[in-house]
Amino acid sequence: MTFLRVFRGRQGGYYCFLIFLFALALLPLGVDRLYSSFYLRFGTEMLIWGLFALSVDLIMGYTGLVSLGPAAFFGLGAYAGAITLLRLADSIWLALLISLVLCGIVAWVIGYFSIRVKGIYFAMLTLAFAQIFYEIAFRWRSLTGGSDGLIGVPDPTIGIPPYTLSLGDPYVFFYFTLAVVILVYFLSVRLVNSPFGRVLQAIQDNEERVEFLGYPVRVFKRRAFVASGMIGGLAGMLFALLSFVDPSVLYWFTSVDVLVMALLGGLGTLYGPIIGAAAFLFSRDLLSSYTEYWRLILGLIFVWFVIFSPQGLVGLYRVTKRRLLALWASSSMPILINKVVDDEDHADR
Amino acid sequence: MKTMQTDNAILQVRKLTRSFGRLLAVNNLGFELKSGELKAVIGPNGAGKTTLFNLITGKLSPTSGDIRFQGGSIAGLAPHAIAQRGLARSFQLLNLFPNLSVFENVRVAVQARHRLRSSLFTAADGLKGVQGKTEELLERIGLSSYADHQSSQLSYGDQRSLEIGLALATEPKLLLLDEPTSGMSPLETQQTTQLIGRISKGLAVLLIEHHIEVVMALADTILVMHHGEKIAEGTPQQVSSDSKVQEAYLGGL
Amino acid sequence: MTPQTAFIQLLNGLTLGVMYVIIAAGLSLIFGLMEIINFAHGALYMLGAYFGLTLFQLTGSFWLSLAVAPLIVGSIGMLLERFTFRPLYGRNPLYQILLTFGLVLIINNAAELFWGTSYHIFPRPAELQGVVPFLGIAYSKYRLFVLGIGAAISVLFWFMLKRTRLGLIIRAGTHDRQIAGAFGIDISKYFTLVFGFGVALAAVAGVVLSPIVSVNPQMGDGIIITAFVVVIVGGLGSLPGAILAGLLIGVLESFSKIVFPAFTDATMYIVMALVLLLWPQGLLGSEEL
Repeated sequence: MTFLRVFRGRQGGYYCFLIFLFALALLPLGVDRLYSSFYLRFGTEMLIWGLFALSVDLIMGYTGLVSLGPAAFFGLGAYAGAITLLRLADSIWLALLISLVLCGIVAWVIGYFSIRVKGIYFAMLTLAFAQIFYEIAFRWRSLTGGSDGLIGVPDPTIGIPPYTLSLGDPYVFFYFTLAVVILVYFLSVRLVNSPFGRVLQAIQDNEERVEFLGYPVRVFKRRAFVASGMIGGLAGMLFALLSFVDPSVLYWFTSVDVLVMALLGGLGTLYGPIIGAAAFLFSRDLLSSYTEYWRLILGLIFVWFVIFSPQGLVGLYRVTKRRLLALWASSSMPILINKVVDDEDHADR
Repeated sequence: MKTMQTDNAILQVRKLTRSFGRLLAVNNLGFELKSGELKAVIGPNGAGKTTLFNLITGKLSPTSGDIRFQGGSIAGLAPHAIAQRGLARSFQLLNLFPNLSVFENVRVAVQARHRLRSSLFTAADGLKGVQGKTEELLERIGLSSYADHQSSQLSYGDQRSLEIGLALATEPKLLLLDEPTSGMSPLETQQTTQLIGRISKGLAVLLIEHHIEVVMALADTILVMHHGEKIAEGTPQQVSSDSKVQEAYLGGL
Repeated sequence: MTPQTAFIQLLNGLTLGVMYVIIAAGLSLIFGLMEIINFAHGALYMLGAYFGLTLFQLTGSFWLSLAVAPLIVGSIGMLLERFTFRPLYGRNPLYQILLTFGLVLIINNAAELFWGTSYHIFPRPAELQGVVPFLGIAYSKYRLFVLGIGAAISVLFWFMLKRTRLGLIIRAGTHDRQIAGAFGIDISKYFTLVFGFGVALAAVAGVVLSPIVSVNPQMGDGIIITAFVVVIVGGLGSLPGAILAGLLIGVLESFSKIVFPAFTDATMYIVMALVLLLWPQGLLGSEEL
């Protein structure tokens, strides 16, 4: 029965995720042998959007805060990183520090105002704040380059001279990004299982009761919002090293994209959104090579998911596995399998 | 102005008033609760009992008057700040964490008292003392065997016990129970009465209750409200022989 | 700024404002009754403009386009409600928002597929070209028409809400579903109709605004955000609120284009943030929502 244990509970999807990460880590080996170097860049892009989608899951999947303005932090992180590298110093660590601190402060301020209201009002305020940043990026040409964006961001290096590696090297940047994503993922797992994280989940379930148990709910929500904003900013900062930064990173379509990715993967799992980002970008890439109307098809797929598989790919995987197991079990050991499936249901909660 | 009586009062309500527009839901209400005392608040529907609870626990702010808990004013404080001072409530309608396990429901409540309750990178399941207290509390409310069930899967009566358990888990000095037996079968009512009797030893309790036999079995004192005002207060014997009370109940129901 | 330019800016602002009112009223109606936050509303506004344009190219009649395009878009809306929103009632509202995001992707891209990505000019009808003397200035006939039709629709909509059975049901459903249920009204029966009606209003605005703003697949992306701001500032589910806020934001936009051109859109967000901080339920929102 040991082979069944692999499929037990939450571990099922989680192991798939680890396999996915491992496979991704081997991606550079196939460059120029199996595929062009475009796919190395593509893998990096998947990781960055995955990180961004994870930041969304922290507040949406674990705290129940529906923010429609995650682009604010992604864009802010991207601009802060790019401007630091262009204007201040060619140092990745300084760029990271400035992006994280700035996003943390801005998230605190946006959170301070937005978390006073709930539900749709919260969603709309976060959207409005993000749009304000979009307007600023668009209009403050001397700092942001306006609609032309920021060009010529230098590639920083990591390591201690003379042993340095340039992040301009796609291999180095890929592994650097992978390391950041893995680090943040495990920190986030730790976070959601910490006393703080458990309170967040209780807030998602019944905010009023948490308040009456003596927890300052707004403070907890705001901290979660700050953590999410900083991770989003980190993703944006990495994005600035990969791609070119213009005001579209702050437009509400960026928020739409990341929310679609997070839901497509499966909210409330942390790894689901990373898989969702990969699936989104992969389908986009695949579809756009056949048709310029890929948004139409992706939209249809997404609508199908919203209606029929709201738990995303992770949920679809679980349901499919359960059906397959049930099919297999209908001939052999029904009781045992039902037990396994039941355990899984509890573990999911 | 302190009298002998107020010295060991854990809760003092003075000239408390709350209006909604022209309606006075609670009107110039005053009473005291001693530590260890169980006071039942009774009265016809719409008498202002739940409004009183909402005022004491911070869900509503008083229009005027004062509420003092352990000597300090708590009137108008946020619910979490009041709860932190050691005042817990259960709700008339179920107010649990429906998607969390029974264990996690209680664990989060127990955690509220822990020094590391908002720590970011320690493991919640490893918090010193929290696990043990949670198990102990589940034992007290008789739900140990359902610890791993999702709370929304419990029977109604068990969910009501869990409701009380959540309030109890924060180790309150004063417990407010809002109709803990509402909607229960006679058997469940009896079990809950026993449960309240067990847990209320040494604890100050304010209890809203419609079942008069539950009140008679548990209450040290009774406060009778009608149209937002206090019409009688005293021991069960004193109250049940009060003519105004009989009038309110006969005329008001 | 001379009094004349100020007056023209005021009129321009009101022209824009009445259209915001119509779009926001539909959005607010749908939210009020079904609690759907319809991000696809802007995309349906854009569809209205395109259907209007196509009908105009086919028939040469602006008035026919104005009458028929909203019917087509309304029907599309009813199909969307029936087949995509209906399975989601009772679920976390997040999924409805996400659904409407998906619909935006589909509708925008479908419009590109059928009509291409280029900008189209929708000519003004011959009888509404040129200017006309108006309260001491010469003002565009077409803009006056926009102002008039916007006001007329707002009044009709108001009348429909206050005086008809459907209006009664909508008001009952918006304020308290349980009470509506207690009176034996199954409001969910009206969801399809109301959704179609709400998006048809957006399509009217799409046709009417096209000769002023030009038709393109992105025309709904910005206006949906403005419409949401109007709804939020006015108070969710409140028609008087939508009217007040729509006109306010239209006029502010018009003046800020002259006074601080760099911050035209930012002004709107700042107004919204201020309103929400001072009146969290919006200017005329009810407290229950």
